[in-house]
Amino acid sequence: MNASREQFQEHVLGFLWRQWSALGVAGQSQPVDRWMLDPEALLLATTSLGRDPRLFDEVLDWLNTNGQFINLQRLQNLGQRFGDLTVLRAMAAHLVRRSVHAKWKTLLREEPTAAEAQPLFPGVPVFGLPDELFARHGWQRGPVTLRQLSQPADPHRPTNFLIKLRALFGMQARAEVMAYLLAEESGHPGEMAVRLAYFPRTLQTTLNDLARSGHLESRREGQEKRFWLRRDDWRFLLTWAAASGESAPEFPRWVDWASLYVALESVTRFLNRPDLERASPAVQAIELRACLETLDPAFLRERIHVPPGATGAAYAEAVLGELDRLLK
Amino acid sequence: MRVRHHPPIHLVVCGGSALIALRLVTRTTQDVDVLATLEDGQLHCARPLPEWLLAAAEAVRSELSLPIHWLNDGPADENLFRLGLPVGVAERLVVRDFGAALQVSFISRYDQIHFKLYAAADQGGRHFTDLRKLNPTPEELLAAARWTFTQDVSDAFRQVVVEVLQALGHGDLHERL
Repeated sequence: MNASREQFQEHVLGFLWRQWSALGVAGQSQPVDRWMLDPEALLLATTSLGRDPRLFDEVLDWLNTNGQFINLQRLQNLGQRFGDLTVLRAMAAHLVRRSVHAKWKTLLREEPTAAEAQPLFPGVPVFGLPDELFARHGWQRGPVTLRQLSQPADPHRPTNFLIKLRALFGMQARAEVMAYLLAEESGHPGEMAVRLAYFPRTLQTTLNDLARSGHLESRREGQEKRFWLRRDDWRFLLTWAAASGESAPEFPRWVDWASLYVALESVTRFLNRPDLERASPAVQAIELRACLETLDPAFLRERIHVPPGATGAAYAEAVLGELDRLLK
Repeated sequence: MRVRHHPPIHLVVCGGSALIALRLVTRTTQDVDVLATLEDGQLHCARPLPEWLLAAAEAVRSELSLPIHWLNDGPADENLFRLGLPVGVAERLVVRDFGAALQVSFISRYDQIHFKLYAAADQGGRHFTDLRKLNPTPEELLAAARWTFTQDVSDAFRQVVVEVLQALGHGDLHERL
């Protein structure tokens, strides 16, 4: 289990680096991904899965440059499902020291609970004086030094489509709505509210307002009203080269990142359980099954394909292999 | 640089890009930390970098979408040169040629251990994880620790270096410092 854990965590960390590098963190990345990133989901995932000092501080650096493009309401909605809000609040405490990030104070309404600080970066001791703001939120780490290497997200990369639309439409639900409809062609408010982490009422109002522009159409389907648009009308937004095998650039894929990050968090917790360290493969598989049963059934059905007869070590291997595949 | 008729230059690079170039660490940021220039086998403090080089770096930055100051002289602290680099650093450099006008030498793993131990004691965090990935031997750590004491002679710093050694599982080196 030790080897699986280290390999899995290494892959998750590599994946987070890749995502952040696409958004403008000064990491090494190739512009190959054809999905659109979800900055709020990525940030929350980083608070729990990205506890590597170099990555973490570069993300803080990115927020310092690009924090205005994070939708805090959506961040809080998604934060009910995954991520570590105490880490997020410590990050917010650093950001609000600059007046341009005053909106982040909204995350600091609650007084941090006084508890003994835990190491923020597992296995990385703190030498000398710890960072006061992180310590106040229950996390022990050395002083924060921002290197100011982060750049604005490049609007001409498909991964940054949502940020591009936020720059056009503002920090409101309509950026997500447009991104979703351009990727999926159509949707109804109930389904979109769940997938986009907005309140149904907000989505209903936004879709109705957008429909009044004449560029969005709708029809009744039973109880639901389905909205759609003509993607060809919006092709001017495609400012990147076509992928290999495509004759023209396409809209980036919409991915349910939140469900993937919830799964990665759950499996990481499973792999870090000390009581399973020496358990038999059968017991490990039973506990892993129990862990997966807490995940979104639609996510499991559509994205995790484990051979029906797999048991014991083969089952665990298949699940980790599937998650690994989703990170590629 | 050749197209612009710049004079040839030999840069000595440390930091994350040197770790990547030598395949010692796989993930770091995109900046290039220039420690020194090399002329006639001697290292010279790289600060300030020549204006023409910074202009060329800026031109490359625009084309490749690199961060501002991606090529920087951050580590080229004059105190470092005054107090002394690790003995023999120039002989251990790993040289890469990039055409007639540019040579880049990366500091060796042995010297990285020296710089990373100093940075880990000073800042912790990523420098400590880098140092651990370099998997230094006790003798390498001993040499590195002794060198760091030439850079900062305070008792407080000495104590932090001992803590770093302990965290690396080499607390016993304390007696040999």
